[in-house]
Amino acid sequence: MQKIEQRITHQRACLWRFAQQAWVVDSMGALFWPKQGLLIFSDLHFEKGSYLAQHGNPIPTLDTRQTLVLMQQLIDIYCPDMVVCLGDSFHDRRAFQRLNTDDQDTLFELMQAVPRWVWVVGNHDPEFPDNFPGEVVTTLLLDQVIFSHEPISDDDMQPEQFAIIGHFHPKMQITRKRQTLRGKCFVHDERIMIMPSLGVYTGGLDITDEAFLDVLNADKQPWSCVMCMQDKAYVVNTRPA
Amino acid sequence: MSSSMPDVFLQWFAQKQWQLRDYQAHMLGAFTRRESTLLIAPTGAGKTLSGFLPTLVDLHEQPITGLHTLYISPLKALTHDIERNLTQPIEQMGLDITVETRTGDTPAHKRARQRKKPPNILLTTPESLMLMLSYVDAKNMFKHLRSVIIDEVHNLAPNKRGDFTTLALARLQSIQPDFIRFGLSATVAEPALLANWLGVSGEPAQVHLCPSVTKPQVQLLPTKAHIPFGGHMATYAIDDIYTQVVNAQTALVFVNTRAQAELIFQGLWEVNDQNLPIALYHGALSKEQRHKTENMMAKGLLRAIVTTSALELGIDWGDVELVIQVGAPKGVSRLLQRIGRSNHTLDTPSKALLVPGNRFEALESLSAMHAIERGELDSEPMVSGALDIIPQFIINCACAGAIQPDEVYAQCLDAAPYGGLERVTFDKLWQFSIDGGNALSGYERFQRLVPDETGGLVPASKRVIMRHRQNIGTIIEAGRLKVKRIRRAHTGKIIGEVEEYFAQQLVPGDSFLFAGECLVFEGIKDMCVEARPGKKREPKIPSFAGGQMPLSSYLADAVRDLLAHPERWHDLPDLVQEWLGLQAEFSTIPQPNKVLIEHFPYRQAYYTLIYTFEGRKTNQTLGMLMTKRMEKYGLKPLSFSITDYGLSICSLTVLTQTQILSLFNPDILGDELEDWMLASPMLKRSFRHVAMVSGLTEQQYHGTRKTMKQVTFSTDLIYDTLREHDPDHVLLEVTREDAERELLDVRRLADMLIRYVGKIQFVSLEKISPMAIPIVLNVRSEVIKGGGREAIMEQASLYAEAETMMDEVRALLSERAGLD
Repeated sequence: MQKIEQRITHQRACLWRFAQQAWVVDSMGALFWPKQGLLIFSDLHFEKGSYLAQHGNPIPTLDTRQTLVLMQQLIDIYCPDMVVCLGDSFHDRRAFQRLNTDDQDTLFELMQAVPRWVWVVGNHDPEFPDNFPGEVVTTLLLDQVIFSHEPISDDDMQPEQFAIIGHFHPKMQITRKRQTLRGKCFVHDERIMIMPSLGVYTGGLDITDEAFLDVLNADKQPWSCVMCMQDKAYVVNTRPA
Repeated sequence: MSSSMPDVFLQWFAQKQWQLRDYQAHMLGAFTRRESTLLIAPTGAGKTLSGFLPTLVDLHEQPITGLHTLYISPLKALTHDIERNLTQPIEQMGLDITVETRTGDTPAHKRARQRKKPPNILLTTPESLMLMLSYVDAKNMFKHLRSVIIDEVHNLAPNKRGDFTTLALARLQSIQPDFIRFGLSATVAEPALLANWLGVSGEPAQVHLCPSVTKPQVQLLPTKAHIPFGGHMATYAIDDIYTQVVNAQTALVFVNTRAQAELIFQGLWEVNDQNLPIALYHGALSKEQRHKTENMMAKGLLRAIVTTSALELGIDWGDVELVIQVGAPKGVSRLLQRIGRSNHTLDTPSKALLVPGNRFEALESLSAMHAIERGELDSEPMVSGALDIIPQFIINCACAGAIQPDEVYAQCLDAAPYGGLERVTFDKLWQFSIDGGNALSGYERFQRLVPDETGGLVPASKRVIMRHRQNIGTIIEAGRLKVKRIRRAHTGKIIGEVEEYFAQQLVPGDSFLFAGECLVFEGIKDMCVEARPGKKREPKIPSFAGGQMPLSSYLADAVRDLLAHPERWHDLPDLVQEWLGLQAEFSTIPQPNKVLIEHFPYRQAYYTLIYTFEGRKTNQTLGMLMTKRMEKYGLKPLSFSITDYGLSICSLTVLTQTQILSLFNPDILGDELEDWMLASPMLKRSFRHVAMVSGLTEQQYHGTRKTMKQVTFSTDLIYDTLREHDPDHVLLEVTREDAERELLDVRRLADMLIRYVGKIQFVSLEKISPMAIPIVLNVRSEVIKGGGREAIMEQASLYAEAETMMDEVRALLSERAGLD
């Protein structure tokens, strides 16, 4: 608990209101729900490096290791009762086989340190190997909050429900005093929150992109955002598109 | 062969009413004596013929089949030009000598044939030579080689491409020890440096100097127009430039960047009411476009050409009456080279006009004129050879046959820039060439060399050879996209290339100036920018990175000197004198024995202007170090920008004199320098170049060019990985050295900081000073990550709820802790 407070005091994380609940947004790119003791990672894209390397892109394939280091640090800080990985945890169907033994051991050790671990499937990893540790689900409902990788249609959401999704890897930029500042970001309207990717080799989509207008309520801008920049997290509002 | 010529040559000279000049006779003698020689002569002296004359005479007297003379030029276009100029005397004298060119443009079947049956004289580029050396049959091809002529040595020697050339020559020497080297160069300040470069390590070439007999007549362009404070384009002077073009029979209008070429060309046509044939020529235009202009030029159909450095080197264009230099000259030697394009004969003076783009450039132009008057030249210091070329060289040798380290190391030492290469460094680079070295050795991708049955190393696969051959050279082109001029549907002609970065900013409907016309952007398809001709307001202008030429340190000093001597100002345009007067009144004029620092509020921030006059590299390093120190002291720097004359730092808060003095102090070069450098974005840029030249990654793959974005993505990742997992990796060392060579000047900075201790003139101002305007207006600035940006974010981030939420979260957390 001290670690969490310290992180907030030093602006490494910030507090944010969504779904009438208090959330802690960490600048490393993860979300923590104090009430449930739940830590959420989105779009880890394990083994993206080795995937690209197969296609002749000379990338050092140490991405999984680096992503695991981030996860380890976050778990040490937040000591969660439960972890949810919000889909696209593995970059492709063969990523499970490419995961090397060291990395696999590290991952399983991490999982053992947490009482409950849930894999929400994504479009990159629709199926998990049999007997893979952790629960594998399409969506997860917890205290009126639906966790899903891709957006949920309005029909599938009760009026009193909220959703937290991944998939889009949002990032944003703001210009102040003739300086342009950029970073990955969390963004929500009154019902849906989109999380950024945690994986180290993942790109991003600017929140001014039209794709976001289909997901978030375009009429009720500004949306609230947390922008991660230089290892700090800042709450800002979008300017209406 | 003696230094007198055979009859057929004497007759030909007589027919032309030419005399054999002294230096031509000298080169004939040098050939017989087998002496490598550097010939230094002004343009228009018939240098090229001097280089070839001994070859022609020797081939006439002792005909051979096979390659006798190799000619190396830094420019493809130059080889074609030389081919024309050589064919003429050969035909006129009825000599049985074959001449061919070989460049990247030569078709594959012709190249293959040239390797089996080479001509007597082959005209080529450094890259093509290296490529030829990568074939197994290289030994056979070069076995009769008698001489190598290297043209435009002054242009080639002081850069990476020059290092690359010396390695190719050293390899050639190991195959065929019996050739001599002829270097041809324009007048330079220190011929000995070039002679060193030209020879084998420790055996400099002989120098033969041919002094120039006339001094060029150089003036500032007379104009009544308003010379702007900032900007480099000089469009204000279009009308006056046009008047000069009208009055001259033929004029060459030199500009400094391709963007400027487009703009000036467009401007001239807007006022071209006499419809004079004015053409445009620069390196981004397609080959066909350029050939068309070259042909028109040769036929005398043009009155003026607007061009960049693409026409600066030896291409002959009959009788140019006037050279107009638009924009700052940047260096005395460069200016002389350009001026030399006019009046291509030795005995009459060249005529040139200078058109400064802004007021600072007026100072620079006048300083250059004074230097020419006094016969002074700037010299570029020679540095030791770039290390990233060594792995490329190693692979190149391996492509031609199994190699041993001792043998390749000896060849490197023979190349003058690598004479001091240490064995331990070479060994690391050797290992890198084999398997990528340490952290990278685990990847199949970086396994490039394997032992063969003899124990020597050979390429691991055919793919390694192919990848290497496709990526030979040291020129890293910024990502380029072809421009297709659309007539209907998706069909049209390729007219040139723009940078990827520029293309990505365009949205359909945007218009831009290219190849001298206004094009409307439609989209990007198959790596082509598709655009159709059209009229629109305010077209954009493609800019090309690296377009800015650095100011020579000689000229920078000359400008400082000019400022210190108000009695010489009367040669400046009135407006510029007035500007200096205002500066003296409002702030103060920088003095030679002091560094002027101004501090003032501007555009919602504070600016600190430091007038160093030490050139771009020094200012870049100083900017980086000072802002790092500011960051450490919590002074919130936001960005800095540099010019050749000074450094401008933008910060969020006001600085006191004491603070600034503590920043401008030799101790900023302390231990932190290393860390600071490694973390800077500049080093990533250097790494990108090093990674490509050393063959870690490549631009050209399976014949398709990767976009720069892809390259950047992967090299940045490799850089970070190496820093984290293998900080001693040889490529990081090389990067560091490369950055110091290409981008920084730590030594010069240290000298300056020490020299000016206690000699700072600090002026605090209420607003921007007249002299600061051209520097602050420079748009390219380096962003500082740190406190300044955080402060801005904090101001942008207002979230009142956070305070009350803290208690709520605390309660939730302790509740949970209690549950456990």
